[in-house]
Amino acid sequence: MSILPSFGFTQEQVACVCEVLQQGGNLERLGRFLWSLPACDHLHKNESVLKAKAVVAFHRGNFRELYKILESHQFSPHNHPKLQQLWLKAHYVEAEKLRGRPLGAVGKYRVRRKFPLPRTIWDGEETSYCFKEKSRGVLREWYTHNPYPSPREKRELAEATGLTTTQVSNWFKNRRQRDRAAEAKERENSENNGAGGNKQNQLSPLDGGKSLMSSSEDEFSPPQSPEPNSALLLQGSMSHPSASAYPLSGLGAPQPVHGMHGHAHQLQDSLLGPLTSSLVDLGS
Amino acid sequence: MVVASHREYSKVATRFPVQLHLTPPSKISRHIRATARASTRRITTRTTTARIYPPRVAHRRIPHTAKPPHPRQRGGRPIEKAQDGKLRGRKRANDPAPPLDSDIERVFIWDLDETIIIFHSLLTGTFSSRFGKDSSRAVSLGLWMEEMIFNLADSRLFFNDLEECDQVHIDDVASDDNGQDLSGANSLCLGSGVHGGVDWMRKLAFRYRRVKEIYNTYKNNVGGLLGSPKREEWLQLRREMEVLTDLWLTQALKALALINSRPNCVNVLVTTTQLIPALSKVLLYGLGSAFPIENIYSATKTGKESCFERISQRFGRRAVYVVIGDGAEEETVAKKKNMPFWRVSCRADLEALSHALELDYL
Repeated sequence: MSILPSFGFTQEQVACVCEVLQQGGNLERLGRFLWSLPACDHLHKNESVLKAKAVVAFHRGNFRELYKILESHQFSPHNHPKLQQLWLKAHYVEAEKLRGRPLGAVGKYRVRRKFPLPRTIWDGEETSYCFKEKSRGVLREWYTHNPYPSPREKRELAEATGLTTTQVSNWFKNRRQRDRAAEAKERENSENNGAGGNKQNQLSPLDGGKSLMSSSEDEFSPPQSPEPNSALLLQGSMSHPSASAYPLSGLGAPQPVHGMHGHAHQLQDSLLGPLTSSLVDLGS
Repeated sequence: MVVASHREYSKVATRFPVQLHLTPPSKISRHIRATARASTRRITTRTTTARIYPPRVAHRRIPHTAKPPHPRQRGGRPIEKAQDGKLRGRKRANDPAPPLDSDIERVFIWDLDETIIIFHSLLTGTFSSRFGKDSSRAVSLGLWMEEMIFNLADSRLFFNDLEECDQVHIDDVASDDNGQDLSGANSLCLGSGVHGGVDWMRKLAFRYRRVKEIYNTYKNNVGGLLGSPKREEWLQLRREMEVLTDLWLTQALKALALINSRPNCVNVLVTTTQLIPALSKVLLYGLGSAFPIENIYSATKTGKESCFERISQRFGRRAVYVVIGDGAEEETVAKKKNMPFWRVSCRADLEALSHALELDYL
């Protein structure tokens, strides 16, 4: 805490002023104060000063500056909530500008996925849930015994958790669906690792069309373009097994599946050995 | 007198404050004794102070509607606001008199000793060793001031009666006041009469009302309260203290005045001295104009955190609270309540505070 004689305030005092003006919402004065500070590195790395700068940058709509500040310095946990709010709000505003209309819950969700919180203002742990931990615990406990509560049981659960029956129903429905999806992904992963990427074969006919188009989704980042790998496939090279699933999306359904099927057998013989016959079944 | 006590003091200073109560009380500064007692009382007997007081004192109070009107706030706020505050139905049980002034934007919560005034550290020798001052001079001035403080407290502020009936705030017993003039009444002496009786409570409330009246009458005219020749002695003491402390108090007064000059800012005092001697200190150090009596809180009974909580209830969430002090207690509480803290450890810190106020940074 050094005193800068020409300037007159100690670092602690500068931090105090920053806090006072922020709490008071006096952002014009805060901006003026920050501008008046001497260009001392040590001072400008002070967390209260940085927080103040972030708030001012947000207030002025200077989002590039805001992101830069938030990403380039590690902030202590007690400041995380406020800074996370700034990050998110700024991104929402920018997304809304692009879209031309306000963002709904889903839109905001997508923004949060696209611009995850930097670790400088987030410990990677806490997620904020809509329902209290206690309620969620009750629901989870129940789910392990019976994932299909009856209407009466749902009413009881609603009472026990302080939620509505609709909320309870939705919670169970979503939970079942996510468990199913997780399970499917689980199987898929283990197959990918073992069978050398016959991902295509796991798709049911109903899913086929949709999943073939899945490369357009953010979730399942499509790493390769169709052409080169499909050429590899048709020539029988299996050097990039995991890639094989995606390229087929560009080629139309029946032909490549058939081709893959043949391949599957060869694969199985050559690489798998003891691996289950279920893989072959999937192919048929 | 001074020399003998000084020798005692060098012994005492090194053992202050923990073992103080083991030393025979006769030679020890009354102020130090009171503070030490107060702090041990706070630690050990907070929950049992009820046995000293009639039990009703501990109860919550609804503000008494027939009490004298509250002096106007700066800017001439009408009394309606006080009524309004009551109608809001908020439980201001611990803060009966001052209306919640929701227009206030900044509340500066000051510590008294060693922040605004230099007193205690003169007696203990800390001030002189820290700032390289003549230690015997410091102690003698300290003793002189101490004598004046307790003299005034006893002679004009009923401290003899009220010493055992500590309150946090001047209006805390106001609702027991029936407005009568009880100046002919006997002293409160706890040994006699019925404790907790209605009469006793009325006398207590009357005393505090009188203290308030005296404070308001003389806060800008302490000389009038002291009368000659005390007045001249006091002026000389003040002069000498300012010289010794390099105009510390003058600097503090500057900051206080800057705050008072703004309609949306207030000064509040929270001190670990008992209320009556605190008022005596405030008057003798010429701080009467800086602090309305309703803005003074003594933390001896309940601790600083409780006082800060009361204050933030009083002015509401919209206001920003700035804590100014030198000590660990106020800093800890400030951090806990997320109130910005301005540390005062030397006079330059007070200058910087004035500077920040002038530039509109605070």
